[in-house]
Amino acid sequence: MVIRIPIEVQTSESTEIRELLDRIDRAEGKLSTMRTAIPGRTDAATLLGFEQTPQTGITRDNNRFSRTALGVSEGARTTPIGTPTGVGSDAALPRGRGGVLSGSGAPQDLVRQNQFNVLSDEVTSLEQEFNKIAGIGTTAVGAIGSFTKGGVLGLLSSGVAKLIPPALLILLAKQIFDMVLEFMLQPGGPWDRKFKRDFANEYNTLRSRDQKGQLRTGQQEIRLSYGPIGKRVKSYDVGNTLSGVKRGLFNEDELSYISRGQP
Amino acid sequence: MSLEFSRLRLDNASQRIMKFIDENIVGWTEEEILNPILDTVRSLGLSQRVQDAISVEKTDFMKAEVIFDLQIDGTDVSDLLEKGFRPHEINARGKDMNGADWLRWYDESGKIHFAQKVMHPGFIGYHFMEKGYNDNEYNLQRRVERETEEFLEKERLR
Repeated sequence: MVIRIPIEVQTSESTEIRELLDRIDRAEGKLSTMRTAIPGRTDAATLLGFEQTPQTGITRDNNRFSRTALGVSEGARTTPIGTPTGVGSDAALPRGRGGVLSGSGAPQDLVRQNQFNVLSDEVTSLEQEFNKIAGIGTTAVGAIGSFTKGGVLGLLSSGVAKLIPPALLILLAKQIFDMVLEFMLQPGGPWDRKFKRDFANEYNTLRSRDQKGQLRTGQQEIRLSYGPIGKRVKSYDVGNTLSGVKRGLFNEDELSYISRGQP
Repeated sequence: MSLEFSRLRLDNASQRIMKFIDENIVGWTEEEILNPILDTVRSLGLSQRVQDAISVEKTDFMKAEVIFDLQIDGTDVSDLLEKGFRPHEINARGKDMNGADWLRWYDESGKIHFAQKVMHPGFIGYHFMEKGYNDNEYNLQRRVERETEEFLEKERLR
């Protein structure tokens, strides 16, 4: 009987790409939901600087040469819910190599932003806004319901009013305790364990080629912050190289910089 | 609609990576798996015929096979060489079966021996295919990773 040894290659890159495609599908679903939920929206393509011409329907990038070349600030753009973006917001800044824009950047530097990141940010902000609106509605409905049943006044008249000051004190103490605990345990905080960052590892330019390859192919990961070093970052700003790619916070090119120790 | 750009870009990247691997899988397997196996075969003192019987063939997309196919007088012996065989009795075929009634062989001193049946002690097998694959599978994996990484790097710089 002939001896046969099968060789089959299954790359981790393709798995990651598949996951990214799934994420795009999910984001697209969210985007369509938000479009139907929020009136007066702007098309995401317009946010990216692509404008649909009425005659042909072909999209073109008018932002690259018109706005930036004329020196108009990126902050002039507005999101569909009316919140200004731009100066102070990283949505208008390129994220490559530390996300710092050089002083006299070329026009293409300003549009170097990953399209997926922009869309992901927009979807997230829309979702937050939608949740906020939904939360306000629910609270209002709850309050109206309690007043109509005479619930608050009824409670006050039944002697519960005496218990309110100590209950408030307890609530206040609990809030303070929670705040202190959150401060101590937050990423980069004094008691931080899970999200402890190793700056030397993030900025290790002498990383071996093997390790670079493993970082690129997802066999290894390094914990890092998506915010600048020294600045206190929030929990959702801390992760690792793999989650960063999966969440679309940086792309493959930026991952290659990180794997070389040049974030 | 807008996310379609990202989807197409990722799809394209995925296709390019897989196509690159598919085009090179045979070469990498030859260098990382086949050559070490051939080195082992040579070190065992086996003939050139055995070496020629080992090859790599592409079977499917991103799939290949290392094949050992050795036929001697129409009989497949690759399995016997690789995996060995149990002790067994060898009988003379007999004139009725177009053979001889006696087995005959020469020993090291040149003395002739005759017997109607002999007992073969069996053979544990060389297992060069199995060992070659097990010892070098990791190297092939690393090779694919390294080449893919370099491919992506070249694509990025292009």
